[in-house]
Parts: sequence; structure tokens; C-alpha cells
Amino acid sequence: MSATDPPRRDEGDAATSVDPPTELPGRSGVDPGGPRSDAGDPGNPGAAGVDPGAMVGDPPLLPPAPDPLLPVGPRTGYRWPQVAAAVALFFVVVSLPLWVGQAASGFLVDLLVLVALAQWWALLAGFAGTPSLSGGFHAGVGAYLWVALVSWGGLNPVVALALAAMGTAVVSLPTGWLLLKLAPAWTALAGLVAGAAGSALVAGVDEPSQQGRAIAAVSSLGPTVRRSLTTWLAVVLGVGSVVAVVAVRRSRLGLAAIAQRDDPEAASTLGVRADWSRQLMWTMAAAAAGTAGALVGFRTGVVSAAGAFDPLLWAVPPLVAAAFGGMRSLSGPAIGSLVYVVSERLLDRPAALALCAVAAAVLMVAVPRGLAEHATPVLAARLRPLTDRLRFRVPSGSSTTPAG
Amino acid sequence: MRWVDLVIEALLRAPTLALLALAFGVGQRFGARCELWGGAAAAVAAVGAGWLSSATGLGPVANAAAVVPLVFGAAYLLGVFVTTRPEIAGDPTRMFTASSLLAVAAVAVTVLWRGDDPVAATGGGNLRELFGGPSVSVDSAVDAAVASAAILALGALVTLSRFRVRLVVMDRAPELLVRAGHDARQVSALFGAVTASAAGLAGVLAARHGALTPTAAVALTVVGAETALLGGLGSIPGAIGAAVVLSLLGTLGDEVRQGWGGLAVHAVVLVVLFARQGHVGRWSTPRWEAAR
Repeated sequence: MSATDPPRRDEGDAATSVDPPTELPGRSGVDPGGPRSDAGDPGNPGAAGVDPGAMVGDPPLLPPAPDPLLPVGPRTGYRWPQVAAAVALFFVVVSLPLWVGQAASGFLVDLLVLVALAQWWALLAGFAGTPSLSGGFHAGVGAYLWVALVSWGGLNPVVALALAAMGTAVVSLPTGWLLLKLAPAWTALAGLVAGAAGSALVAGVDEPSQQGRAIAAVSSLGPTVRRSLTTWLAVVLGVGSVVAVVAVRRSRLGLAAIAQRDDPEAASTLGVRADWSRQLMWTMAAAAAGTAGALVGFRTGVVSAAGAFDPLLWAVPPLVAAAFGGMRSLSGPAIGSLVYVVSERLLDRPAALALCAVAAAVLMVAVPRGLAEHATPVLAARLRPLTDRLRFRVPSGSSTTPAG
Repeated sequence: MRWVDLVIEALLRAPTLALLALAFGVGQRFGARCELWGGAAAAVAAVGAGWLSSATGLGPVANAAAVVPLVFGAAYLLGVFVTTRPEIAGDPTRMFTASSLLAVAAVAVTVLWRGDDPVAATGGGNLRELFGGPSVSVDSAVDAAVASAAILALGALVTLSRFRVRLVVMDRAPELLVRAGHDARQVSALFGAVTASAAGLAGVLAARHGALTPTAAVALTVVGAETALLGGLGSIPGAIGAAVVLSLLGTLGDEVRQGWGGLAVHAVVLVVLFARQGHVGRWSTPRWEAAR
């Protein structure tokens, strides 16, 4: 190997070959990546963990906490109990429409729609550094594409819903190309502008939409059939969104987005095509929002311009839910969505919004990493005796102590 | 004659719109991260002024004099609260999220307090009736004068005062501000409060031309952002020019057919955005570039 060759991963990076420490990362001063490869190097004054500028008596510097957004190398952190639990949860969720009642069905639809929107919002904001308020625009586009396909195209409402999602994705390509060039906060504001423009355009062109356009093809379906179909479609939207978000997070797209977010210049120097990854995330998020907009139209049978494009319905709740649970973890948006939907059921909408927004802001200041990301290692430590006894292993990869 | 009245009315409303746009644009230019604050501050201040008017019978000047300092204080405290943690202050995405959450909370609390009905929100009637006078009147001229004075004051703050130097340094290299002995957090919160106050004053003035509800924060955010985008972030002449154009478009378009005014405004802004390919920086003036 010549001097200019980059070091091979198995020479300098022992993170994937050394068993992780038993302590929680970032809590005990133990390097979570195992021993450093440059320890003891006489040519390196900073080797062996000694800081030449440190004063005697200074507390030891804690190692930087591992970036929770990065995939943990080979998937050694998961063991069969977790996989079994995930599979069981998956089947429980997808079978929910078979055994939930009428009241629970409405709750489930609200929850799954919000989970889907919040997951995509968290992916765009937490990974790509692009907070988006264009949910109203995309939901409205999806809803009115669906209306056009059902009312004027005569298509089956469910088939039209899938086509509306694809149509929203197509519409989002030029808007993403335009808006993603703005500064992140202005991308969000321009999304609001696009939603207002869409609402004004639809209300100006289609007068019945000002009060609410009833969809005859949906109204003719019986309430039981419509409720059942709505629940199934919500399950597909929610579970599909979570699976897609996980796939994106663990793919090169997710890494490219992180690189772009953390250091755009370095990312572009290394040839990372982060713009494409952000555009793809934007498009997928738009498709999910369009599906949600069409799904709510399918559920109610009435679509209005004000409701379909309303940012207070489509853009703000995902923001609040993702911020409540933590926008850089997978479970955070789900937790936030659950809290928000439950609050909305217990209180009225403004009270729930005020409560959750204040709580999320306080949580952001108190726990900047996010509630879920903060609680996971704490919960894992509390559950360690139980998990050790059951031969479980926590995701952080701590060693297993056999029972007895 | 009717069209002349409409044009005059639109021109008198333009300074208020320009003030709202400057609250957005100048805040963004100097990194105050108050993108969603503007609309929320404007709506909450308008509702607060309506309530104050109905409760105490104060006139418009006293209303504004009472409400705007309250908005300033609240925005300053919230700005300090949000920037408590360096993890948030140093991350634009988290800063945007946190400030948006507080804006949403402010609007939602106002809805809980006064309701979202225009009558309830304004304390028993249309604000125009509370303040008195038709749209084209001495009152409108006074509103335009107040908004123009506020624009001049804000412009002087960010272009002529010594505070401007701190803003520029805070935006480009906050660590230098700290080394110079200034508290970057205080500067950020103070400037955020100034822009929120400007937006609040714009909201109080806008409410005199029609009833506003707390959820009008979204519409105010949209129109303020549109004007700021069209005129250029932080550009005072640009904001005034864009406000005149959009105000005329909105007023005259609505006169042709109800709803067309808003549609024309959105269309113009989107066309300009497409034409410029979203490169908002191209709108900046040499003066701003030199400041940067």
C-alpha cells in the first residue's frame, strides 16, 4: 500500500470488530468505539487520550457521543427478541382494522396519518436540515387530484388514491427543485405560500370547493365499507411511511443528507449528491402528504379548498409531534403523534395544540436531543436486569450476562 | 372615482405591509430566526389591541403604545428562553422548530383566550367600527404615517446605528461577538424582540382595516413572507416597492372579482420565484453585500 492510499477500514477503525463497552456511551468516559488505533503513538502528542493543554485537576473530557443518526455498522445490535417484537407489532398494526371498533377506528386513522406525516417531517428536518411547512400544499394537491380522478375521471376511489399520491409526487418535483434552493427556513415559508396559492387557485376555479365539494362516488359507499377501507388505507399509509423512512435512513441517501446538513462544503467536495437525496425525500414526503389529503377526503366524502390546504391541519401538527418526541429518532415522531392525538381527543383542538406546542418547546430546551433519544438509553439501563435475565440485548450493544 | 379611491387605499396600506415584510426580511437577514414569529406576533397583537379597546375604551395610539411593548417583552423573554441551550441556538433547524413551536403556542393560547371568531376576537365588533372611520380617511393616512415612521426607525437601527455592527457580526461570526465582550444570546433575543414588535405594530395597524382572528397569523405570515421574498430579504426600498405592487394587485384584483386579488398576489410571487430560481440572494443590494 502506498503512502497516498487511504487507510483500510479494518486497519484503523476497530469500531466494528471490538465488542462495545458495557457502560452506556457518553456516560462513563469509555470510548464507545473501542480502543483508539492511534493510542500510544509517540509521534502524536494527543495520543493515548492525553490532552497536552489540560490542567491538572481538570475533569476528564468525555468522548463525543456517537451520532445516533448514523447506522451502527453491521446490524449486530438487533437480536431475535427485538426482531420478533417488531414483527409482532407489525402484524398487530396491520390487523387492527379487523378487530377495532368504530370509535377506535377513527382514533387509529388520525394516529396513523399523523405518524406518517410526522415521520416524513422529522426525516426532512432532522436528517436533511430542511424543515418543511408544505404539508398543506401537498395534501391539497393530493386531495384535489383524487377529486378530479374520482369525480371527473370516474375511477375507483381507492385506485384514484394511489394515482393521486403519484401525481402529488410528480407535482412536488418542480416545487422541490425551486423551494429547496432557498434557505431552510424560507423553504418552509415558501411551502406556506404555495399552500395559500393552491387554496386560492382552487377556490377561484372551482366555486363548490369554497363550501366543500361532496364526492358522490364515495358518498354512495356504505359507512361501514368506507370506514373499513379508510382504516386499511391508513394502516398502509402509516406502516408504509415508517418502513420507507427506515429504509431511507439506513441507505446512502440518508448518509448523504446528513453530510449535506452537517457540512455542505465538505459534502460537495467529496462528491456527495445531497441535492438529489433531499429532492427524493421531499418527493416521498409529498406523496405521503398527498395520500393523507386524499385519504381524509375519502373518509369524509367532502373536500373543501380551505380544509384541504389548511396548514394548521397538515403542516403544524407534524411539526409539533416530531418536535415533542424528538425529530432525530424513529420513535420520537410516533410518541409525539400519540400524545397529540390523545390530547386532541381529551381536549379541543386549540387546547391540544397549545399544550403540545408548549410542552414540545420546553422539551426541546430541556432535552435538546429529543425525548425518545434521551429516554432510550435511560430506559435501557433501567430494564437491564430484566433484559439480562431474559438474555435480551439492548440496542446499544452492551454485553450479555447469562441468567443465573 | 371609485378606482382612484381604491388606489389611494392600496397605497395607504402599503407601508403597513412593508413593515410586516421588513420584520420578516430583516430578521432573516441578520439571523434572528424569527420566520414564524412575525405572523404570530402580528395576529396576537391585533387581537390584544381589540380586546384592550373594548375593555378600556382606549384610542388607537394608546392601544398600540400599550400592546407593542408587551409584544416586545414577551418576544424577548421567549427569545432568551429558546436560546438557553447552545445546541438549539447553534442549529438553524432546531432554532426554527423551537421558535415555530412558540409561535404556534402563542396563537393557540390566544384562540383559547378570545376564541377564533372575529367578533369575539376583537371584543364585540369589527375593529374598523371600534377604531372608527372609513378605509380612505385621515385614520388611514395616520396609519400609513405611523408605519412609515416605524420603517424608518427599523431601517436606522439596522443600517446606521452601532447596533448594526453587532447584528452583522452575530450573523457572520458569533464567536467574534463573544470575544468582543458582547452576549450573542442577548443580542439575538433583543433583535428578535425588535422585529416581533415591528410585526406586532403592523398587525395592530392592519386590524384597523378589518377584523383579524388569531389564526389569521397564517395569512399574515404568508403575505409578509411573500412581500419580503419579492422585495428582497432585508431591503427597505425593496420591501416598500413590493408592498406597493402587492397591495395594488390585491385591492384591484378583489375589485374585479372576489378572491382574484389574493390569487394574483400568489401568482406574481411564484412566477418571480421561478424566474429567479429561488436564489433570493440575488436580490440583495451592494450595500448589503458590503455589510456581509
